[in-house]
Amino acid sequence: MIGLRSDSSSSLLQSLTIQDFRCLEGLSWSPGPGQHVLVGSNGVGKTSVLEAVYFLATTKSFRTASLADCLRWRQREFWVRGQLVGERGAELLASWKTGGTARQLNGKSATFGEYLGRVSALSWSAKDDRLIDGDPASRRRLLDQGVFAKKPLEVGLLTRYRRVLTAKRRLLSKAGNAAVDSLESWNELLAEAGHALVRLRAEHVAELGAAFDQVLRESGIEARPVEFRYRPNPEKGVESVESFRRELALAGERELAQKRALVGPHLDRLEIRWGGADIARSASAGERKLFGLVLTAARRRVLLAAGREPILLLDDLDAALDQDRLESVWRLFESAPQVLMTSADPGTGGRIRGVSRWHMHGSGIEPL
Amino acid sequence: MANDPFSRLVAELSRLPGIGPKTATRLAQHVAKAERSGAEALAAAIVEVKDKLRPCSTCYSLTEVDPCSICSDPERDHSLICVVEQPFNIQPLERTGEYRGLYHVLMGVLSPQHGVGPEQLKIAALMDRLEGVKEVILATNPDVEGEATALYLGRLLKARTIPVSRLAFGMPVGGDIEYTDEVTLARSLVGRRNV
Repeated sequence: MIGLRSDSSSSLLQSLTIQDFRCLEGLSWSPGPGQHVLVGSNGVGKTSVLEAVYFLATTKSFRTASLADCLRWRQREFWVRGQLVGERGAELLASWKTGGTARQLNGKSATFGEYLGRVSALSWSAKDDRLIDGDPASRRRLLDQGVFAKKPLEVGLLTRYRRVLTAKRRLLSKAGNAAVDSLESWNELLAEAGHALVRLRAEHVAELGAAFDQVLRESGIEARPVEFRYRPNPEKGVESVESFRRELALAGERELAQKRALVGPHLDRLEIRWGGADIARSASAGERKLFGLVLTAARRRVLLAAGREPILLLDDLDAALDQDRLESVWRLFESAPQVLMTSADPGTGGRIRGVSRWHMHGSGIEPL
Repeated sequence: MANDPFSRLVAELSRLPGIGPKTATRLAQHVAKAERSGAEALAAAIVEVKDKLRPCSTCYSLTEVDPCSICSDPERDHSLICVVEQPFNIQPLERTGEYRGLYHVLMGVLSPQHGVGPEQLKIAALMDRLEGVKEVILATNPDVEGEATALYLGRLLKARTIPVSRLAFGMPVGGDIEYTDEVTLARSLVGRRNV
C-alpha cells in the first residue's frame, strides 16, 4: 500500500491443505509470503482456494452466510489446515460439519478470541457487491467483520447482544403480563451490550472513512468524494449506557404493542454516499469496482493501525481493468507482505510486475 | 435402532448431558467389560439417587433429609442467603470454605427461548424466606440468562429493602490482561477490591 509499510507483528501463510471444500477434494499449496496469482480456467476452484484461506483465518466464508454451502458433494466435513510464519507463527486448523465450526491452534482446541488473534484476512471480489447493493443487514455484517478483525477478543459482545435480543423477541412475542414483568431485566442487558456495540461500530466507521480518504489521496486515483455515515440505533446509544436505556424506555409501549424489538444495533444503518448520493444509485460499474478495491486497502490500513497485518485475498482483480487502471490499483496493494489473487487470464502476472504466478488445474497447483 | 442390551445402554447414556454417541459407546463398553459387582454398584447408585434424594422444602437443594443439613444447621448464618441456579452449584461454593450462610436454589434461570419465566422458578419461595435476612447474594452464572435473572431478582429484593450483592466476575486467576476482552475487564474493574 502506498506510503505504508507493515511494521505489525504479522502472521503470514506459509502453506495450507484443503479437504472437501467446495470442489476441492484434497489440495496442498505452499505459496509462502509475497504476492501470488493463481491462474486457471473457469470452474477449476481458484476462488474456492481464496475462500478456504479466508475460512482458515476467520472461520467464515466471504461468499456465503451458510458454511454448509462449502461442503463438497456427499461429504460430512471439510477442513483447512495452515502453517503460519512470522512473529506469531502457529499451525491453525479450522473445520466444519453439521453442528458447527471447530478451531485448533497448534493441535489444541482454541477459543474464538485466541484463534482469531493469530491471523486475519481481507477479501475482495469483483462479483461481490453486497456492500453497495446489499440490504442493511449485509452492510452491518461487513461492518462487524471490520470491527472484530481489529478486536477479535471482543467478538463475544456480538454473540451476547444476539442472545439477549433473541430472548427479548421471544418475550415480546408472548407479551403477557408475565413477559412485561421481566422485560426490564433483558432491556438492561440489551442497553449494556448495545451501547458497547454501537460504540465499536461508530469508532470503526470513523477510522474507515479517514483511511479511505488517505488511500485515495496517496494513490492519486481520481474519484468523486465518498462519505460513510453511520446511523446507530438509537442515535444517542453511542453516548452512554444510560442514554441507550432511556431510548429503550421511551420505545417500551410501542414495542409491546407491535411485539417487536424496535430499538438496538440490529437496526443500525451504514450509508455510503458517492459524490453526494447513495452509492447504490450513483456509482457506475467501474466506480463500484474501484470503490471496493480502495475500501479493501482502507480496511487493511485500519487493521495495520491496530497492529494486525491481514492476508489479502483478491478474486479476479484484473477482470475488466485495463493496463493503466490495473497498475494504479495494484499500487494500493504492492507493499502488502502477502497477497493471494486469482485470474482467468494466463497473461496476468505478466501484467502485474513482481508477482509469483501459479497454474491451478484439476489435480493441483504448480508454479508457472 | 437395534434393541439389544448394549444398544439400549448406549441410547440411555447418550441422553445424559454432554455425552455424545461416541462417548456413550465407550462408557457402555467399559460397563460391559467391568466385573458384575462394579456394574451392580453403578446401577444401585443411580437408583439410590432417585429413591433417596428429594428437594429440600426450604432451599430446594437435593437432600436425604428434609430440611437439608445446611438449612437445619444452627451454626450457619441464617441472615445470609446465597441464590444459585441449580442444586449442584452449592458444592463448589461450599468447597471454598468462605461461606457460612444458607442457600436458595432457583431450579433454573429466566430463559424466554425455553419458555422459562419468573413463575417457573422458585422465586416466590425465596420471597417467603426473607424475614430476618440481612443480605442476599446472587450467584447465578455470568451468561445472559444468569445476568437477566440476577437483575430481575435484584429489583424484587430491593423493593423489599433487602441488601443485595452479586458475585464478582472478572479475570480468572492466572489470566492475562492482554488476552481479556473489554466486558470482562470492565467487570473486573467494577468488582475490584482494596489490597
